Amino acid sequence: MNHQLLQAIRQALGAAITPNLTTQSHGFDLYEAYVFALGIRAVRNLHLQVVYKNTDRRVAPVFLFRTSPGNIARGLYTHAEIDLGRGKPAIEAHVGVRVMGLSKIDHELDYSVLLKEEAEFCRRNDVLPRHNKVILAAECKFYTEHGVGIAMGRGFLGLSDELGHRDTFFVMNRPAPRVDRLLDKHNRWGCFSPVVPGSPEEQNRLIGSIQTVLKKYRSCA
Amino acid sequence: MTNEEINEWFNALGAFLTENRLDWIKTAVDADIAEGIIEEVPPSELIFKEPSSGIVRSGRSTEEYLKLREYTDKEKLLAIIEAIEQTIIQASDLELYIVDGFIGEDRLDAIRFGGETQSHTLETDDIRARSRHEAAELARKLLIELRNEVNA
Repeated sequence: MNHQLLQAIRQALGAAITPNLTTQSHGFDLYEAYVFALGIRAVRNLHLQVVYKNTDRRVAPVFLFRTSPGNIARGLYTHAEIDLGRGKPAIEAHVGVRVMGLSKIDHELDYSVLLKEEAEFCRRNDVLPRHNKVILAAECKFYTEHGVGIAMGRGFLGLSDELGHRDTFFVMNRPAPRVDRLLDKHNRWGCFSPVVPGSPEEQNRLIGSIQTVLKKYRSCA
Repeated sequence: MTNEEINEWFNALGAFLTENRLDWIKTAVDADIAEGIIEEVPPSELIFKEPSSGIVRSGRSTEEYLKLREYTDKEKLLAIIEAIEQTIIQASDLELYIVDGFIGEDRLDAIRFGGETQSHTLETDDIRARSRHEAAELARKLLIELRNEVNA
């Protein structure tokens, strides 16, 4: 065994560990924030205006991401307010908020874009946004074991039904051929994997797909 | 690399994860290994009648079948190397991407990840993200070197 190589790997890896990996969220929060950032990239590509705001409507100098899913009205978390242009309804992008599905049960959306009017109503009344006010949603999975990944893929299809077959994306950082196959059959967008900065092709496919949904929404709204 | 060395490396990397409170990565790798590798078997490799019936034919169906097989020791080591790349190294890539976007382009002061209580808040910024990423880049190269030794 090459002990010198082992020592060098231990040292380099030890200095590379981000604290998000050692908390209970196991890097999921970081991955959701990354997908949110890709959504912002899509918005910028469409030349739309974005302002980061906190739950209290003030402009956010620091971005605070949720580490566990919550109610849109609670906690001083940050979201993006997106202006679709004159005469168009404003929209908001969020990480980790709960919404009400078709069957009137709550669901956690890792990343979502919804109508600002609905979000404000929900913040005022401390209630959950309704599924038909969600424009797009993404389920984000950071390094899950293969078996769990498949189960999550199946769960995602159920979530998609609950959102009334809106535009829903399943995004993973691991290549997942089995989940790919499952979702290719049952979801119009298929599976986005691996979406990571080191795989620009899939990363750009996700950005482009978010742009497509937003453009379509803007033209119909 | 001998089988004994392969197992030593697998255990050493597993121990590193445990020592650094990353047991969940090791647990996920162990779960994948326990589940086995799923492979497609083409119809030409299948036997469609009991040999006892006297007629053994293959390749009658056009459908492929799935088969489960165990990981080899080499595949186990490659799985834990891949897991480290897809967690520690990629997390550093993600952190840098987020920092470049929100702090570099959007000029926010910092990025925080917070639970319901302040005690769970983590903060990242340009200096911390870049320092971790430098180490991650070195680790990425060293893991490629290790992978090359395994495959040699």
